[in-house]
Amino acid sequence: MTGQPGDPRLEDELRTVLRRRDPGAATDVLRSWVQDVPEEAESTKPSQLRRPFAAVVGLAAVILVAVIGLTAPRHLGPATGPGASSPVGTVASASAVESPVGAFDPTLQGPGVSGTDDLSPAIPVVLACAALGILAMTVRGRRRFFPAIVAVVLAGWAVVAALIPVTVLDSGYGLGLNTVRAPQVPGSGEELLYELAPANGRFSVGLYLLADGLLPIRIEGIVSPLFGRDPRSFLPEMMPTALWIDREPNGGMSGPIRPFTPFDMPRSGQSIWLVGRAGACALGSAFDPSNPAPVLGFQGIDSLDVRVSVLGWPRTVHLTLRFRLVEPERQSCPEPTPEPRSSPSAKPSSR
Amino acid sequence: MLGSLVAKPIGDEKRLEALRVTDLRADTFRGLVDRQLDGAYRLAGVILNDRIEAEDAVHEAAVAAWRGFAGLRDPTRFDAWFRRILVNECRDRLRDRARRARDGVSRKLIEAEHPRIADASEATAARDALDRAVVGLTLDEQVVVTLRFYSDLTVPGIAEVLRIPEGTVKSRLHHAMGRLRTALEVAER
Repeated sequence: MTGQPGDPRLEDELRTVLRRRDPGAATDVLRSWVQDVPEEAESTKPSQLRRPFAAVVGLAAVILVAVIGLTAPRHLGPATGPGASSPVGTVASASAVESPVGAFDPTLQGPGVSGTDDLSPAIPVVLACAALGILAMTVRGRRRFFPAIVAVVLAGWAVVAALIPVTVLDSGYGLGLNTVRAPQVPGSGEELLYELAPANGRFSVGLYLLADGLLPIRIEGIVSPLFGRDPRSFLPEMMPTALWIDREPNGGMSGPIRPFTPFDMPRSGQSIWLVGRAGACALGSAFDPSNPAPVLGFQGIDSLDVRVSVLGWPRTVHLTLRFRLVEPERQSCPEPTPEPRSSPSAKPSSR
Repeated sequence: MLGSLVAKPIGDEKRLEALRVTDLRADTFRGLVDRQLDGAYRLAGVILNDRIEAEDAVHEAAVAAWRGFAGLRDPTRFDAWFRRILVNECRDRLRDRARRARDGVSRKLIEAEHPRIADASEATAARDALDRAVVGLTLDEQVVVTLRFYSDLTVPGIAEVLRIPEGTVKSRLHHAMGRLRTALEVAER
């Protein structure tokens, strides 16, 4: 029969090997599937189409999960903690005007201030969950559990990271470069700061941030006020240009500072310095805080949109400042001139 | 007008009759498949060496059988007919697996994905070598060997299931057994 009669041992061994593969009786799941075949075959598309369909959906799911997997770690990577070593020279406190020149550079633009908001991964996550769900319904057998589990994990991450409330509070402030505190009106609780930098000059103000929420929060920076605005309607307003991190332990505002990099918010809070450029019509030091009446007008900042990430999910938190920072403007404002980049009007070592 | 009024109930009756026939056929089909479901699953499991894929293969075979069931002239031939469909489905799956292996998916990955159904306590080096040698046979040889030594079909029976000449069955068995013998001898040295 085998072509080599008289080889019973090989045949016995072969039978044993094949019997080892025997999976036993059909499972109840299979029995149920087969019983459903007549209805299923009438109502569903031909099974020949199922595999290519599952392949296409599976490929789409893999691509989407890969996109999410590549973008989320950007917000989860090792943060440069507030106490980490400084890549840039440091200075002492805000009052240390005599610090080395070139340490704190108020003309530095960019760190911590984003011209755009981070794209939410919500759409890729929804699409990936849909693709994985379709895949789980298309695939037969226990393999369907894999896409189903991935979809559940993905959806769980999205719900927790995107919906669990988190809050960023401004619980204190510090006066920095070209900022002074306005005399408080008796009976008024409003904290008013004047920004007295010359036109297109630099100012800074310290913020003491606290985070509130169940989940760890990573501070990614702030959204530029220009985001979402038509550039043609741009006015030469006072504008945040950079953030600096104060490295003083315990969240103080007199330690060495360094340009902003994303950091995980400590429980004890963290001080940062908001550096900005004054508007082209700024009155500057000619303004008398004790007699503000002759001024044409004011513009100011009383809130910021803070970019944070929670478990790798980027979010924007609206931060209402404890103070209102206002800039007195001249009565006659000349046409705006290009910003002088190399000749800051501020003393370079002062915050 | 009168014609259409008269024709309508006749059309409904025809549809109801068609549904009754379909239900009857479905019940018959379920009974026939269920009767040999265990054997079919076992055969698919032995050919494919993978429980999950065996489930899929039996299900796909059942779907294909239902689609062709209305055209089956002799219901007494259902068992052989269904086994032929199942074996073809298993062969397609073995071919897919081999293609994936050729396309760079390593054998290790396939084995990790499709764990072998083996009892470690029974495993011996020689049997493991023989098992690997079975996997190394051509797809057609694997099917013929399984039908011969697991299902205990005769050469004419295998030829009928596979719809190939008996001589081809003998030839495949001859080549397969030669390679398996060599593998066993090497393992026992």
